[in-house]
Amino acid sequence: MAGDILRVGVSGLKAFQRTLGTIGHNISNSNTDGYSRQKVGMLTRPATPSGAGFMGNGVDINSTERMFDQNSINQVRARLSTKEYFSAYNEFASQVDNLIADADAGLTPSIESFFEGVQEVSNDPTSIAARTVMITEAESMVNQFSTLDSWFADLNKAANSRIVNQVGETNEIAISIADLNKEIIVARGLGGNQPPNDLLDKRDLLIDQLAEKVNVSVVETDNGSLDVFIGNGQSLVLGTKPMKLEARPDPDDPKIYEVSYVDPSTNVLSPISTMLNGGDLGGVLKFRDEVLIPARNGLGRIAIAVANTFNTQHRNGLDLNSALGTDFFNEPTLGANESILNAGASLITVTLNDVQSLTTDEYQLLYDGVNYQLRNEKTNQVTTLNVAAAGPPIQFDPVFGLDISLDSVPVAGDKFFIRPTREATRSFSVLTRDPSEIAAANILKTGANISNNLGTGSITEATITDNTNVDLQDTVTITFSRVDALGSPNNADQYTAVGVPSGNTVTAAYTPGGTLSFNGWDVDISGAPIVGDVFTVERNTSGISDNRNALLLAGLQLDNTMINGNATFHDAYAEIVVAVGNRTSQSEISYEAQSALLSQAEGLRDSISGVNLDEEAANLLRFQQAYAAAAQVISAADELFQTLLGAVRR
Amino acid sequence: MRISSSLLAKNGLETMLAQQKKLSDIQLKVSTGNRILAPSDDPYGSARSLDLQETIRANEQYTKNSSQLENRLSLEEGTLIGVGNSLQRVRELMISANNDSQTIETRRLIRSEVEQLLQQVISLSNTADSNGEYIFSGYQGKTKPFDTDGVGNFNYYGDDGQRFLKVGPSTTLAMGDSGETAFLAIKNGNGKFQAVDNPNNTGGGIIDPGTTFGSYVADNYAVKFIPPSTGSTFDPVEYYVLDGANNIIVPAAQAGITEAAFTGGGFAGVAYEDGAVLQGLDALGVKTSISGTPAAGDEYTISPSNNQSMFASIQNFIDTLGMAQQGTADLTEFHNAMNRNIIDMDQSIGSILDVRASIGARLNTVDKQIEVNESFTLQLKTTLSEIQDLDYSEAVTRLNMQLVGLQAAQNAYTKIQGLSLFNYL
Repeated sequence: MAGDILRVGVSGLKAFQRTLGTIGHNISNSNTDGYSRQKVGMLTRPATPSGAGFMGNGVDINSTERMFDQNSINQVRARLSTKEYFSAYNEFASQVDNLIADADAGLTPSIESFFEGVQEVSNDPTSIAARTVMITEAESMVNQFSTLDSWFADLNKAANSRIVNQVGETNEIAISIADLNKEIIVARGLGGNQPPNDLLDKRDLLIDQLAEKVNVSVVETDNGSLDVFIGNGQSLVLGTKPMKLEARPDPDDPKIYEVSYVDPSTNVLSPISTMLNGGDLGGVLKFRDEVLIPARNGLGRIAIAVANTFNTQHRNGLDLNSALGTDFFNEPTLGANESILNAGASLITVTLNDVQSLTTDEYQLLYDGVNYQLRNEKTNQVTTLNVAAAGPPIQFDPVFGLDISLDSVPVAGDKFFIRPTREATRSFSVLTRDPSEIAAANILKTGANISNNLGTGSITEATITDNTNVDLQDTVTITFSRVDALGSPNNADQYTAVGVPSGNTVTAAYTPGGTLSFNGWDVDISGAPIVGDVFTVERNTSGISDNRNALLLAGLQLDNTMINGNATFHDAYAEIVVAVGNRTSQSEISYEAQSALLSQAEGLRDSISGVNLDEEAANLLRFQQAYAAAAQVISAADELFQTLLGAVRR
Repeated sequence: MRISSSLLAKNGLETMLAQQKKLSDIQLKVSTGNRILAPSDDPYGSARSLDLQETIRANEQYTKNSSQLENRLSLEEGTLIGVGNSLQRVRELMISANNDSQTIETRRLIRSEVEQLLQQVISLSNTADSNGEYIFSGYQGKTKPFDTDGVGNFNYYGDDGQRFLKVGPSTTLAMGDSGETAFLAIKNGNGKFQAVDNPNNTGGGIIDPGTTFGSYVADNYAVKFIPPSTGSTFDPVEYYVLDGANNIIVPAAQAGITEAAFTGGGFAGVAYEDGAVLQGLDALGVKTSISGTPAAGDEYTISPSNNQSMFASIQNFIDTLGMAQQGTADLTEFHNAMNRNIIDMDQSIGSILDVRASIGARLNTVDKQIEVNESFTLQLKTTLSEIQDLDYSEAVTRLNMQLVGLQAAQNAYTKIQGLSLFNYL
């Protein structure tokens, strides 16, 4: 009987000791990452039946339970992926955001300074000092373009190395998870199918860490191992076998890195960048697509527009030496390259056709053996190109402001990549170094022969419409005459324009205010010329005080030369600023929202799995007391036994 | 719901960190005075403020351009005032030279003064600005506009170019006027036609420069005097008028009648009346008269005005002063020439006044434009300040609230972390 009591007491002692140990374990690990609180499961021992009913036999420990809820764990993981996605996105985007509208680092102040320099030249076209300032301002503007661009290039490099690092860490985590899977299978075998709690915690922690890098989903198998999937269902861990990702330069676009999945059996790489839409990796990839490349393309497009429109106008002028204006800026080269996988050897050339139609998008040219199709890489919209000249070289009708040509017929399936604006800024530079070569004057001047003319006719300035016309600089004499016999005999109704030396001649009826288009220029003549009145259009030689072309150049600042004639250079830049600002602020708001959601999910998870020290303290007291009571049972059993022995001895 | 101790600590820490981030954000805004630190703070606001900054800078440039324009126009105006004064003096000398009380000797003195004045006008017309740019040579700023060509001819080497400056978003103003406009393109005579006597005239008829009357029909008219068709003396005489094609227009054209009919003596012209308006020409818009005693055979032409430079007008005066002044024919020719010189000089003075009026108008416009630019700039700056400047009272209130919040979070953290059942065991 006393033996029974003793056994019952010992069972309690053992159970409470074990419980106190587990409480200690909980307290010790209360700050361990990923630790789930454990709880000892106690069960009454089978009772001994007797005539007086079942006699209790004490307590048994049947398990050490890990407190967790798979659902809330999954929720934390999903939130973690989303939060890290926005965190990485925002981390990179805010770098662009901070710089792009900065008063010192932004682009607009330097564009403004440059055009102020042009205005100063128009105010005082003979001043070498004003001209020198204009060239210096042009250089500092170009410098600002290239500073911003190289800084975009640096961010691209930073994104690339971030991708390489994250892929490396992902691969290591995959190996660790596979190893833990192995350990868990073994431990379960050893522990008689009892869960190896601490190993499970460790594995969950690793999966959380993985979720910070990419979006993951897990499936538990019967033997206790976990299969981990990423992206669109690519398996990263299958049981005890880890798979691999690889970060490498995109073969279609070698300056940016992409993430590829390595097929375990064939070692074939298949790109999965577009499928990664969570975690740090997803955030960096999305930032690159949504912020970095569009901003850089936008910058490149402005560089192209400034160079192209300024050069076009500059060539319409005469410089201080009365020589025709040359290119003021080096016009950026538009980027295009052939896919390295092409079977054919056809080379692509892309040049600017019309700066107004130029977009910031990037394109793929595909040849299917019959048609040439241009696919917009952002919108996936496909345009079938019209062949303008079958060549070779094959030339296409201009599309999106681009002149595209191929030097030979490609092989069906060949691909070409057209990224016209991305690296355009790199080849943007100032060509004119000599202040006297700034073409501030108009090529032509017009005039009336005042010692001869009797009428009130007047001629406007010549507007140059085609500076490539070979006879542009002809001296043209416009003489008025009369064909109609009726009316006042002296009022002219017709004129003849004769160009020297070309000999080009045109005779036309005179209407006051009408336009004469000749030799690549336009003039308007109005008023009432008398028969015999003469007007001339001639080269503006030594017209060094003429600022007409400088005024037109300065006017480009406020001309809508971009985006289908709807935007100035400045507007185009503001468009980038707004886009970057919006993306950054959205990512920041989302990041904060996701942080809050993550805290909630963590709270929910920890309400089950987390250690509460007060609870442990209370349990500690409870089980200490129970232990003391159980010890008292043993001592009572001993006393009972001693009483019995004393009775027998007497 | 159970709360885990580590979550409690973590949450406390996170709130503090979040409070600190907001605090540093506000601190930065307060210390820079900017509401927008990066475009993400207000994407449209920051684009708008870039826009406004550009417009403000453009306006400031316009104001700069305006003051440059003002300087240049003032220089031009000053020069033209000088030219105008010289011309006025020339005209005074013309009036007195025309006076019959003058002798050859006094006219020679006048001539030397006029020669001085001509040199003065030439040097004024060759005025250059502080950069050495000639202000009256059109586009050819480094070419001396008025100069002799080495073989005695006085030429204009500039052109008709006019430089414009942008003084407002949609206002461009001419920075000057070419020498052609100011000094060369001046109609002689009365601006429509010029009445000239024939140097071979022998009579004492002086033709009035005339005015236009109604609509002027431009043509070369010739007024010719013939002996009277009735009576025996040559005095008074009769006249007839031919048009440019030698058709008789006064007296009224008659079929078959040619000039020979008059010269032959048989056909009656219009009787000459001293100082009366020439008949028949008024219907063609020409109103002029001949006074004095024209002789038969004298001729006058009335032809459309040509452009004549003011230098040529002065030079003509000098040449006139050098003419022979003996006898009726010479003196009549002298007075006729002087009359032409005076009206030509009136045209030159009028032209200078016109140019000055246009400069004045431009100076007015530019003054107004400067005012407009300045008030516009002020407005833009106000708007810009509304968009990008921090509302300090609001920000400081927020800063204080944030500080209180952070302190509360810190307090709460220490209090809560200090609570533990273990403290009582």
